Amino acid sequence: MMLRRLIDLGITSLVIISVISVVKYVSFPYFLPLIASLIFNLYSRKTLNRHVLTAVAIFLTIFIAFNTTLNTLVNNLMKVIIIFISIKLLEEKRYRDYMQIITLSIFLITSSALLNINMIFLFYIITSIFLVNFLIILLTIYDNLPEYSLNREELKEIFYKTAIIPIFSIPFAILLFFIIPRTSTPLFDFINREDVAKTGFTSKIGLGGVSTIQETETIAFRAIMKEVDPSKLYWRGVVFDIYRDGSWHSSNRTNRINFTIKGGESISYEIYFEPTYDKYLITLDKPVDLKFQGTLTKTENLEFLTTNVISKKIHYNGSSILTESFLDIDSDITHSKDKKGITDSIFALAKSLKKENDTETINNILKYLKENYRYSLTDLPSGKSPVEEFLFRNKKGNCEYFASAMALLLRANDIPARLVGGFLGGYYNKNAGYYAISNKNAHVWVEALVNNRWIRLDPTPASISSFTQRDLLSLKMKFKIYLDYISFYWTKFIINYDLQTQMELAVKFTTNFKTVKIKPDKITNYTLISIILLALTSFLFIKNKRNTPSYFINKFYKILSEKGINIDPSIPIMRNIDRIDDEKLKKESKKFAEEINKMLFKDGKLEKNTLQTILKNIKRL
Amino acid sequence: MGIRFTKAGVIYIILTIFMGFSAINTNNNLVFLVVSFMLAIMGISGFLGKANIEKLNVRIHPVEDPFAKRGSRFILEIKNGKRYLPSILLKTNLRDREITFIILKPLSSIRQETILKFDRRGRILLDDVMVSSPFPFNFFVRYKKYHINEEIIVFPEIGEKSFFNFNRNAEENTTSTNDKITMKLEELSNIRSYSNDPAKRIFWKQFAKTGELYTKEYTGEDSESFRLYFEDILKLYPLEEAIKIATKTVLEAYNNSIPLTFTISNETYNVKTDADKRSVLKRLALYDA
Amino acid sequence: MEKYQKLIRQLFDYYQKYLQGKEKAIKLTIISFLSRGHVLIEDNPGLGKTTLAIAIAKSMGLTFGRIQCTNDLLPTDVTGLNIFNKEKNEFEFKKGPIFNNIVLIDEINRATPKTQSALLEAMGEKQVTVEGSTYNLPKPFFVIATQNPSESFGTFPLPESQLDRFLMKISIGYPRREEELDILRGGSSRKGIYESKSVISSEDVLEMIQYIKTHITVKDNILEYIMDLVDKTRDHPQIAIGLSTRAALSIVNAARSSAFINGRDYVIPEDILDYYQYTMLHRMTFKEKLTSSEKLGILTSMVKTTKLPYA
Repeated sequence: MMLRRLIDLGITSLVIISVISVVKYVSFPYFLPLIASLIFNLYSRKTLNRHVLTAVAIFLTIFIAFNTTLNTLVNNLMKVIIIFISIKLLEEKRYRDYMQIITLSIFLITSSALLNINMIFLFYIITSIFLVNFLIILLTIYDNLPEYSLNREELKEIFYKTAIIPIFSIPFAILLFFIIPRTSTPLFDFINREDVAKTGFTSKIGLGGVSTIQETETIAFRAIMKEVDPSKLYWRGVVFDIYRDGSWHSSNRTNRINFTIKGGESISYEIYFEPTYDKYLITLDKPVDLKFQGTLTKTENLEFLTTNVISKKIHYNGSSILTESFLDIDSDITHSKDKKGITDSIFALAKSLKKENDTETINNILKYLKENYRYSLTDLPSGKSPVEEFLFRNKKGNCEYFASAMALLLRANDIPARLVGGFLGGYYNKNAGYYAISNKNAHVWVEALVNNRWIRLDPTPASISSFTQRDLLSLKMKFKIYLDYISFYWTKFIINYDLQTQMELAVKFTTNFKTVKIKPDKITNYTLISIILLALTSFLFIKNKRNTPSYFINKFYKILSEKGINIDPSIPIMRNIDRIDDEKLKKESKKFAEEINKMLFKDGKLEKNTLQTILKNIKRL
Repeated sequence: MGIRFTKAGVIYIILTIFMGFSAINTNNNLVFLVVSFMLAIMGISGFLGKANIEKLNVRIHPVEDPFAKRGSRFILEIKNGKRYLPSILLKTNLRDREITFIILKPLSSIRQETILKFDRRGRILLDDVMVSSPFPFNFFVRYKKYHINEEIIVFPEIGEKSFFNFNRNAEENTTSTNDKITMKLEELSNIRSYSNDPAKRIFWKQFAKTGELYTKEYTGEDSESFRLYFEDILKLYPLEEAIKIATKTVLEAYNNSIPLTFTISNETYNVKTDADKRSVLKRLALYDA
Repeated sequence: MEKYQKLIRQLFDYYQKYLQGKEKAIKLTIISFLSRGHVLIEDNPGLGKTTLAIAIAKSMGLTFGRIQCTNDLLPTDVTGLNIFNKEKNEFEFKKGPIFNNIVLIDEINRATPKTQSALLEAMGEKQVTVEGSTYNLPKPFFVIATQNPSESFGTFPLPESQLDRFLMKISIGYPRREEELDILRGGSSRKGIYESKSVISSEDVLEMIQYIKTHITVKDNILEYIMDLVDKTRDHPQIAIGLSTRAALSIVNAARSSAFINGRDYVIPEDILDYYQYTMLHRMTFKEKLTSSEKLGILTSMVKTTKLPYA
């Protein structure tokens, strides 16, 4: 096949892979010219005028540049790259131009890493490395001998043998990845994006609008911890205490923090958090302590906030107490008892549900909601007052409606109440020992203040089992959990690898070598295993070398030389032995020669023990 | 052994540095991963590029006799002594002649014909061949010198003048030379019985008839072949010119199967076989050199 | 193997008794014989070539023929011819001296090229064609040809292409002083040889040859080594014609026999390298006129630079 044709095919595949990697981030119209160019490049021998094309490219780039904000910078960069690739494909192409297309494609894939930290990136990059490797080799040949056409056998030889480069580059790159120096702060701090996309739970609950409870199975975070009773797995995130015009907000006050959390099971955990582009951190139920690399703010409502928006995968350690209530003596309840937004009909309903004391009122409201309303994720109440719509007409809704309704009914009965947004349950991965919590697990419940204690109330009728029971999971979901297993380590070792981990790893290595006591840890385990494997293969390699006949013959000659015999390695063994005068030495040497000749030229199998013994005997003489 | 970075290679390095900066700047581990791959590929391709020109065996041998000032064909042979790796895109430079070998499989050899031209007669040492290759990525070109130490003897330039009239371009000058040393076409003069004579002079027809061996004798028995003394030519022409003429004469005598006895510095050569011709040309090539 | 080893030992004992001072030549000749090849001895007259040939024939109970070449020797003098039988009233074939197991062709370079080619054809094909009829030569068939050093006068040197038909080209050389003295004291051993009894039978000989052909292992690494050597001779700048495939095959056969007489049933590099100058040198054509020692020098350096198959 002509080289040029092969190169064009390779380029097409590379461009397609790179485009797939960014297909989510660039609007469709940009792909049309690219597809046209690809087809044009494959089926037409014509090329278009370079100057005209360059002018078009510059014009389009300027156009895009004018429409660029800080938030759309990366997306627009992708658009520009795509335009340039399309135009390059139309031009007359030489070595240089092909290299430019390859570079642009790699840029495109890399730019996808700025917006997406999914493991699929690894697939894109490795596939493209194999492709690019072969492409550049062909280009090198093409550049030197454009008219040459390789036959199938030559191609195969080149393809298989040069695959060494990408194959060996994988372990090498992984090693480099861990040792490339990291810094704690960026060198130039001008492209730090503010939020780009919001996923998962939010700092605002807007009823009646688009449902914020997502039905996606994407992972929100993972928590390494022991397995606990699933009914206790309330993951606390945001506390909403302000109700305005059908939506809930958080006050985020930090003046006074004075909680006493006691009496439940104490648990410590490590959370690997996917970026939310928000500031709230997730904790398990009632957090006691949180260790995070960076500054943290604890609020009056028992929330934890970071200073900067969480725009990358992070991890932190925490310890919590699993308890239904906690003591908050001088709680500021200005917001929690605020009756703004409660309509008359709600007041009327609240009154009808009132009992002798607060506890009974609460139980009655819970009972009322659970008996008369249905849980649903579709056909949700909307309108001016969604809560009223939910309570009196629609009578079905998701947790946001149940919680909102309950909180308002409590407030109408002078019981301070607020909403807590977070997650419920999770899938426990027994092999890896962590909970995977998907966005589907997002949940909202109520906290009410009774006798200076904030009590957790969950009016939503959906059972916890639907969040947690692994046996009932579909095969697809089970498979997904296994995938998540891999994805978890991807996050843990690759995405969250930073200066601190690098230092830790280095320290671990040095201390482990110094002290005999080795504390097994997953990272060290894997590194140790790979080191052992590496050592083993190199040992086998050396050993293999020691098993060659020439090794023994050289050794034999060396021994004879030491005994003062003039050896010529270019003549056969027996002729060298003829030069020996000493009868005894000659006899033993002949034995060696006979044995090795027999092994080499008769049996074809080397018995190194026999040879070793004879060599030893000769040496002793 | 050397290395030279190409423009593409320099750009690759700059790109790697650029990517390194962006990795540190964005603190994005995936970009770090890309940088790691770029570095790893550079390293491994460097290793492969080095291996590509290692363990080769380069040899050159003439296909035909080289004469000075005239291109003559040589075979350049490269043997790949590696057990597993092929050698791809090898370029060899020998006396300003570049030959490219696309692919050389492990433990195989490849030959390519090349034309080499030498300016003067005598011993020429083809000492080493520069082997280079841009493999694998055209990012750098690696060089290695291979010693061949092939000594060849370049025969003298073939002159235009000769002592024979085969050459139509022969001018007056040549004819005058011809006058001095006359050439006779030999004629059969006698047939006598065989006694240890060269086989070609046996009268085979007679042998077939009678089974007895006879030898043919020709006129001018003593000088049965054309005789040429190099020193005679030297008297008429300067050294180099004389050598050219002698070369031409010897070649023409051989090519037209004219028996020629050539004497140079008291050494006498009978130009009959190819080997004889070579010996004479070699002697001329090394004359006074 | 044991049986044949005993036979070969008996043979060598025999030669030890009757042919002192020619161990090397005997060994080479026997190897050629066992390899189904022929041998060319280049030496001055009177160094015991005839005795050697007779001894070999006698020791194995084989028939012996001798052809003395002169320039009037006709092909039919060698092969035999059809003679009219008056009694039967028909032509009958009268076998020439070549119809023997061991044929000594003395001074082959004195024969005319026509006779030479008849001889060489018989050696190569192991059969003779006279007037359209083909006659097989007896088995085993072994030719010992001798020639005077090529510089001798009045000779027809064997063409280089024909030399390929000889498995080995050897020279006997003068015996050592003590050995020569022994010979002088004991008189010519020719008489003793004529009177001696064969030590092995001709059937044994044939079996032995067959055994060597089929039972001596030659591993691929040895074959590749031979091919390396052959390739080198083909590429060498000073060599016009390198070794032929037939030459390579002969080297393998000779190596087999060498292994056998050394008591091995497998070939080792020594079996090739001990004899390379006898098996290879005469088959190569050099571009320039070189003395035999120069030629040997080139060949030796070539052999020395070829990597031994010890890998």
